[in-house]
Amino acid sequence: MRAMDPTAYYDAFSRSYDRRRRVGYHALVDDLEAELVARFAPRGLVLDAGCGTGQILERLGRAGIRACGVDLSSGMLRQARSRAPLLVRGDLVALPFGDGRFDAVCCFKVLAHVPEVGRALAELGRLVRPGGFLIAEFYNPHSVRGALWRLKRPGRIAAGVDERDIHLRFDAPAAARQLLPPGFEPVTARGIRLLTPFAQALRLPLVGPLLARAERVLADGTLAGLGSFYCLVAQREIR
Amino acid sequence: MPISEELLSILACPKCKGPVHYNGDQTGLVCDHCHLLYRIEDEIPVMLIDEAQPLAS
Repeated sequence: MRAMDPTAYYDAFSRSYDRRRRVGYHALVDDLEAELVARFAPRGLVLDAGCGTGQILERLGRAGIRACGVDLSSGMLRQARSRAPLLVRGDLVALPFGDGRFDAVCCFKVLAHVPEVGRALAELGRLVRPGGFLIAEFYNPHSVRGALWRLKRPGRIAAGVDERDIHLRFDAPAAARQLLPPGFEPVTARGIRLLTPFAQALRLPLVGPLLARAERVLADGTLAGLGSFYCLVAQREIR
Repeated sequence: MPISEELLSILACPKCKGPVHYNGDQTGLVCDHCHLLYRIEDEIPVMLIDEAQPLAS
């Protein structure tokens, strides 16, 4: 492990992050994540922890959901400014909000890169009101992406920076449930990218649309546990 | 530069989780309990404990 400072990593990543994110694979992943949040928090206030360039926040805004974004990287937040009104720079393990302040807290493509994942989840859980939802995404080793990760060359992030420069962990669904903070019960899970072998496959004529359709159908089914991005929805108990 | 009322209403000190309020010229947010000033940069509050400025108590 040669992880660099995450702020520097994501500041470097922010310059290219949105390139080709509007369509195809990345747009589908972002759509499926945002839809899940909208399903569990159609009203109220949502926190997107690790909001990056605001792709999820923009989708939530379009769905009429009030959402605040927090991120460690000022580079990422600069990109998010045109997409979302409520933005804060902050650290996942010491978030600047009071207890139970949000109806739902979501965290996508982030926890796999946080060394203190248990501490981060406890902090996210603290912010959820009783009866509210925590929606946390894990990278699943038992998946297409998990298998390919072990074979592929690390992707380039910016000049002199590649995917190996950030902390990375994979947690299988059962392990992910174990990581939930006390007082949270799993409600459901959505599996994202069950089939797509490589991102460009979703841009192929005929195959692309079929694949996207299949991903949508399978995301909430019994095979969700094989999704590359495993989104666990847990509800905070009401006391 | 000031931030929106809505954002101000949900923010807290990342250290003690207590309330924060504007400093005199609205360039930052103050936690009276921790005696820390969090700067506001491009209308985005920087709520990082390591980057907060200690205030005289």
